[in-house]
Amino acid sequence: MAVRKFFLVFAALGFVAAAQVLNIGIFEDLTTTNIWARIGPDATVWNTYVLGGSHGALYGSVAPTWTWLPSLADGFPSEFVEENGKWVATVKIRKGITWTDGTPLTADDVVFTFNVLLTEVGGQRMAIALGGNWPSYCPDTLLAVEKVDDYTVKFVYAEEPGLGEWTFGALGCPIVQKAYWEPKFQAALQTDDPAASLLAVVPEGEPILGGYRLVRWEPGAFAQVDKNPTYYATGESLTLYEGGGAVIDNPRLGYHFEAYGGATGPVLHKLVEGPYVDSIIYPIYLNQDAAVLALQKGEIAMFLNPLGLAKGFEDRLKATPGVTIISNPPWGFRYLAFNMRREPMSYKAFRVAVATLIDREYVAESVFQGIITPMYSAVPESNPFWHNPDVKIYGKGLTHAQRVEEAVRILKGAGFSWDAEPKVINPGTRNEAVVGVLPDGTQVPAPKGFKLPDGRYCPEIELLAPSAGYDPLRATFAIYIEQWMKELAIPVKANLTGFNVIVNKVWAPDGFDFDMYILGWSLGNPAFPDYLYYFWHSSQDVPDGFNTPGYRNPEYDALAEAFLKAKSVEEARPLVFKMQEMLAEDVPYVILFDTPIKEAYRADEIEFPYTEVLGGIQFVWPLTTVKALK
Amino acid sequence: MLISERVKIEPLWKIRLRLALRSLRRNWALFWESRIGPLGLGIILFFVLLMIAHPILMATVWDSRVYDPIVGFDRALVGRHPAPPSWAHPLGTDPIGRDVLSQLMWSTRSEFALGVTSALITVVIGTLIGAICAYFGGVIDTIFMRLADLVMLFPFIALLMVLRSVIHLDLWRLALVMGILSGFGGITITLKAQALTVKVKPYIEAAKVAGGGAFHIIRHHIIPNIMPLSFLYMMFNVTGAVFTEAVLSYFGLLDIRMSWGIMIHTAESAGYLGAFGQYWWLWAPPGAAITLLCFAFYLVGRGLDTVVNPRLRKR
Amino acid sequence: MLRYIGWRIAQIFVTFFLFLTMVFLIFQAMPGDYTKQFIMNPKIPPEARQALAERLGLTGSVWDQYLHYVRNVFTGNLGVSFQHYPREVWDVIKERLPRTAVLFLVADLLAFALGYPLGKYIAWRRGRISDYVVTVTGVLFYTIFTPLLAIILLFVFSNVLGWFRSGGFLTPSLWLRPPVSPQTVFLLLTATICGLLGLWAGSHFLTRRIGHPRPRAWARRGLVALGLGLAGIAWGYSGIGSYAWDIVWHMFLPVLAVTLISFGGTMLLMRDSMLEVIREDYITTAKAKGLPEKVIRDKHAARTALLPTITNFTIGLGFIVSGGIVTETMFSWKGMGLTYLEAVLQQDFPLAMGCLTFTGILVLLLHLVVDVLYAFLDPRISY
Repeated sequence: MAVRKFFLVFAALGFVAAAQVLNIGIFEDLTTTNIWARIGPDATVWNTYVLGGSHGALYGSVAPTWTWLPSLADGFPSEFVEENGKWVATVKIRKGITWTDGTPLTADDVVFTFNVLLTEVGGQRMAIALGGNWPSYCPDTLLAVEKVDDYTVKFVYAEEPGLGEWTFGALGCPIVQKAYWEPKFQAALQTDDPAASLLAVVPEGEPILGGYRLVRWEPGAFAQVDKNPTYYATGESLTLYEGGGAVIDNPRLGYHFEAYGGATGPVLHKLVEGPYVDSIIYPIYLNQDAAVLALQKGEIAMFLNPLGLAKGFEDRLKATPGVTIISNPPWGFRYLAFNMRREPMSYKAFRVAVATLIDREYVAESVFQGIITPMYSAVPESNPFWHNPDVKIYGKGLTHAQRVEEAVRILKGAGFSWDAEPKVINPGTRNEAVVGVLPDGTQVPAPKGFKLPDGRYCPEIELLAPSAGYDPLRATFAIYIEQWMKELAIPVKANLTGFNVIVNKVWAPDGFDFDMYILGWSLGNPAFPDYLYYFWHSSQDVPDGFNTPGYRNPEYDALAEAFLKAKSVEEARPLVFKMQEMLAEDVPYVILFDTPIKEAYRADEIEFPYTEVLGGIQFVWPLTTVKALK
Repeated sequence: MLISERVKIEPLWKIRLRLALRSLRRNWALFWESRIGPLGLGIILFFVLLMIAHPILMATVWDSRVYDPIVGFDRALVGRHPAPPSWAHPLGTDPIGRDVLSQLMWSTRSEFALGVTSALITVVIGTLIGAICAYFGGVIDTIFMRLADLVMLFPFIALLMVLRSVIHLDLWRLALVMGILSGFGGITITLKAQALTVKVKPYIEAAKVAGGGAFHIIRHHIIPNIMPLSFLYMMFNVTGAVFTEAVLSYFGLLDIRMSWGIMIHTAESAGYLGAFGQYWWLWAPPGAAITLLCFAFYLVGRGLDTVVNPRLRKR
Repeated sequence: MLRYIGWRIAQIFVTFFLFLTMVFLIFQAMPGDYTKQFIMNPKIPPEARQALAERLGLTGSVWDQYLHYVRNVFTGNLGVSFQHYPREVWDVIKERLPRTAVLFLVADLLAFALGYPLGKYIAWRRGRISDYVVTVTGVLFYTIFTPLLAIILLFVFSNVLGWFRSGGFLTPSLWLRPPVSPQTVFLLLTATICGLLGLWAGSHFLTRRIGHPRPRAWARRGLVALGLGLAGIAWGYSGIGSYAWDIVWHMFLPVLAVTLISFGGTMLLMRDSMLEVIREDYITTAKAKGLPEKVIRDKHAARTALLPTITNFTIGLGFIVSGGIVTETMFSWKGMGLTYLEAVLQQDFPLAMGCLTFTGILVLLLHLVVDVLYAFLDPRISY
């Protein structure tokens, strides 16, 4: 009897003592453990997976609804008021948050963090010298950050900031501990290159705020994070409502906050912060096959791959018991860009005609059998708040023959001509073609001699696209587009080449050197699509800028500027809708497609608070709400 | 009758031609006797046939919309790609719906162009230089050996990246670059080693004493004795070229649209290689093709054992 | 001979210098530079990229950069890596070189140990069935698509049998708080292997006195076995034996893969060069004398035939520090091959140059070793 009791106690102790460990595979190693480097020049997705849980920010957009809420802050910031020609707002900090060394988070830490970024070194701000993502957290118009009292901070701007500089700018900055970093920062300032010295610091024993901290990094092999027992948000529940409302309730700090109307309507998600898992180990696999094999035999619970699963892997894992596959829309797109500085791409009619010819549905359904999702607007459909579903889609619903006829009509209308004009034979039948014999018996010669409106023959056009080995999807699309254009005798040649070659040609030092190219973008923060400015504003039409097509539309420029300066997302929304309309109308880019992100994990080992989220689980990697089931 | 009417005086070139033909026939007989030589030759011919057959098939039986190795797509099997072999597709289809047999046949051309050409260039250069270095020694040897060191250590990938930004790197140019680069590299060191063992043999001294000039000795004594190794290196280099092309294409460094290496890599990136039993038609045909072609060169080399080295003939 | 070696070492210096210059020029000729990749990130403004370029020293004139670079190399300073800024190149290489070298050294040695005797065997048995079977097997493995072989090995040994993990060079759960770093273990393993090799080479001298070939061979084997045993005991008692064993365990599959793929090359090379000597007169003499087949084969034929094979093997050893991209990728063994490839693709010039420097020095030195070996292997060759 006593023996049995002993064994039970022993077993119970064993159960409690047995740490919960999750093994999550990653495909590349960490490159740094230094927060300045990790947000700066070493901003890789892998660093973020492992280390993203260690620091917090005042505010952030919470997945899966991308609701903007306070993290370290207490409530929303105040409105901006003008004070001596400058614009000022205050932010309160929650009380009771402690660093891992026991000291509390105070305004000193926040002020210190920003002071580091604002310090001028060698004629520019540290934020610029550090590079990476820091400049977006310390915009040019931010002048100073001052302490009002231990839990209140004042931000001073040169002019009233918009969403880009405030909400999704400075307020998202990670906060570091003053006590730990101040001596190192001072030491760095004494050196020749303070930014480099700061980046070179190996942060041993840095106190953190987040849910997990790095305890072990074996370069080339694995990294391990352990849970932070002093994490301020342990037990905090965030309830998101269908009406957009959010309620934060933190029993540990005694903090309660309601936003956007609070508890109105049915509950969408109730997220309770952990961290639940004692340790997460990230072993490094260098190829997907090995990771898939590891997942199949249970060596890992999941692997994180920003590109998602390829079809073959998906099929194999579907058949593996214990493995669940989820599919989510990606936050990005693959596109065709025109160089509007050259002929004939400078003619809107030409771009519209090409856009008309591109039959995304055919390629998606027939060639790729549904593994790609056609896209039409500059803001993907998966982002319902910002997506405009009513933009113009050239060629929508038309058959191949109708597209050819429509394209010819558009080109002729703008003054283009042919020596031998394309005509469609037997439209709608299996034998439809653009050369052959018309039903009435007349011979139609193959189209040739495509001429610009001024009578010159159209110059040879080069379409750059990634090679088949690198991305068979874009390569195949390029080949189809080449074929469709060639049917109209447009002299185009698809050049399938390396990714670096394309980048070097497009962003050539003396100015953009391309005719057309196909690449892709990954789009940053879904809550704030500021790429709409960077990709198409005329100020970005400079060598090395982002406006590769050279789109210069004063109306669009005005909208984009107003968008960045908008004070609220409600104000910004109609602007974004209008911008999408203009882009769909003028087609500097033809947005083509993207592939859903498929991810696999062992449902018998790991549990997520939600599996439907833009960009997939690996995009949000909700460390502190993940549960281990073994 | 006069002697001049009975005995035909043949011009010298005719005599040389007849002797050459006779020697050719004898060599062919020796080659044929080895049995594996002709087997290798047969395999190579088979691939040549594949290469020729492809455009014929495309022009006659095969609908280019379905069977084109790069943009073809079989709508009838939508949703089932990669489809297993069937009557319509003897080797099945790949993950994006293209006919595997068509890809295999079309790629043969590029494998010959790239693999065989670059291997030939490499071996010819390597053999010549190895022989010359061994025979002459001294300054010539030093120069070529140091050149070999430099070439062996040459950053090939960096060179490719530079080249492709200035010229369009098609198959032939790539073959030329690879061939020349390999030709002056490690192969010369190994072949020189072999040539050295020949050079120090007594009959070389004898030939010199008998008045043989340098090039005569090199051509008639040294080179034939290192040729078996040269043939072996043909096989090594064809294999090497095919795999190098596959790896480089995989990293997006080349502009080649289809090759055996790319076929297998496509299967691998799409995730079908791991299910090697289930989706065998994605890797077995190109893999077998690579093995067979390289093996064929090896067999031809071995078949030429007795032709090149008279000492191995049955006495 | 000593004069020859001295002259060659002088040549090595000159060649190395030329090599450095050549690589510098090629990298300069590459379009764009390291900061190009940040173009694809809208969050990084052009000024930040410019600042980065300046910090990395990419904005000076070509001649300035060249001088700076040459000066650095000859003072032993390999510079700072762009990708891993501000980690020094030497630091990065120090992490990755040992595990690359050990893996490929062991694989090369095993491939040679397998290919050499097999090559002798099939040369002697030319034309028989065993010749064909062994040759076909060798060629099959030589021409197999490496990732396929790797996947098959992983599937069989890791998934089906469960003996190994799916990759990597250590088991994370065993290395949470190790007393020693994996790099050190790899270095010690290299030392052990080199020590054993040295013992094997030295055993030829040590057993010189024994006249008869059979006992002599056994004495040699005994010495090596003794060495192995001592090494094993030393590792066992060192306290880090279990860590070393974990690493050695992870080496099984990649070594197996590389050995299978490359043994064919050595084997066929050995066979062909042996065939050259097989019908030589002195072989016929030896046969007439009645010497046993094995002796003729090993003592007379093989030594001269060794030249090309040894050349190939020794120079090949120089490349163990450059690793193998495909092997490293398939077995998740992050080594010098991948490091170098990434450095070149991203134009991280200091790191790429650092990798090439190691390979360069080693290959140049080994070439000298090979040249000196010729004189020993074939007495007819002299300098």
